[in-house]
Amino acid sequence: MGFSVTAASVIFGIAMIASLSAASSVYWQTATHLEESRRVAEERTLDAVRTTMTITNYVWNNGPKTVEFTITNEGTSALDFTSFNYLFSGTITFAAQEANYPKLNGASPPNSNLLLPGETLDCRFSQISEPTAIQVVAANGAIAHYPG
Amino acid sequence: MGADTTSTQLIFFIAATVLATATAGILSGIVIDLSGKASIKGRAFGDELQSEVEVINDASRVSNNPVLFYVKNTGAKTLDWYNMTVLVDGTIVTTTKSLLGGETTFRTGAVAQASYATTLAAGDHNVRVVMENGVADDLKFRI
Repeated sequence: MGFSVTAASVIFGIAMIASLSAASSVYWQTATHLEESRRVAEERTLDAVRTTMTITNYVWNNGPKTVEFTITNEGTSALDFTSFNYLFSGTITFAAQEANYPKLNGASPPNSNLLLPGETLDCRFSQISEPTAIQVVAANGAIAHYPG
Repeated sequence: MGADTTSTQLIFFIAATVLATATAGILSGIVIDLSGKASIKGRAFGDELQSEVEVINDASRVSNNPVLFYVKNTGAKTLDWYNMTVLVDGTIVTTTKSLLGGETTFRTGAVAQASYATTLAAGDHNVRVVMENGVADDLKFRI
């Protein structure tokens, strides 16, 4: 009888070790994934908080039907301007800009895809009529609106 | 008599061993099953943390009839744009969804459009867009 108890205890012990081993492995994998995800979410939030853009130098050219404006990165995050979305009068457009635009810090073609803090991006789009408003959306969701 | 005692003890031993093994097996199975489900839930939550969408409409210039909503994927995960749920003023509405800008997947940076074939009354409204993993965004706008 004593040996039966011992054998049963050994069986329970082995089963418990195997179960805890499997559970532990799953726990650490999941914890690592969650920690990584939390870090990504936090970085995204901080990036959005640090992003500020303004639209200035608005010009409507009625002859060629083009609108010009300048986007300035007044935040502390680097922005990929190739991921910008443009809305004119509330309608999004994916049309290419006019020839020799956009200009990064006044230069065309841009020598980088990044609009760094303090830098300017000159834009020119063809429009059927003068837009009532311009909205630029960065990849992280930050928005610049004109008129402000 | 000695043989009876021995066989009795043997029977008890076998019974105890079988019982212990069965119990241990069931409990181990339950633990492993729970671990698997916890892993699935944890990964789903992790994917939700990495996902984000934003309704990027100009709130003062949303089109009417149809009402067009632009949803941008600002997160780190590719999402199912066709499973997007749209609520306008708290009510789920039927919308025609499409990807814009020549995109084929709703990857990071892509924009999806949800077209709601209705004429909204003038005034303030609210739209809420919910993706398949629960990530959502709201926009208050004016018609």
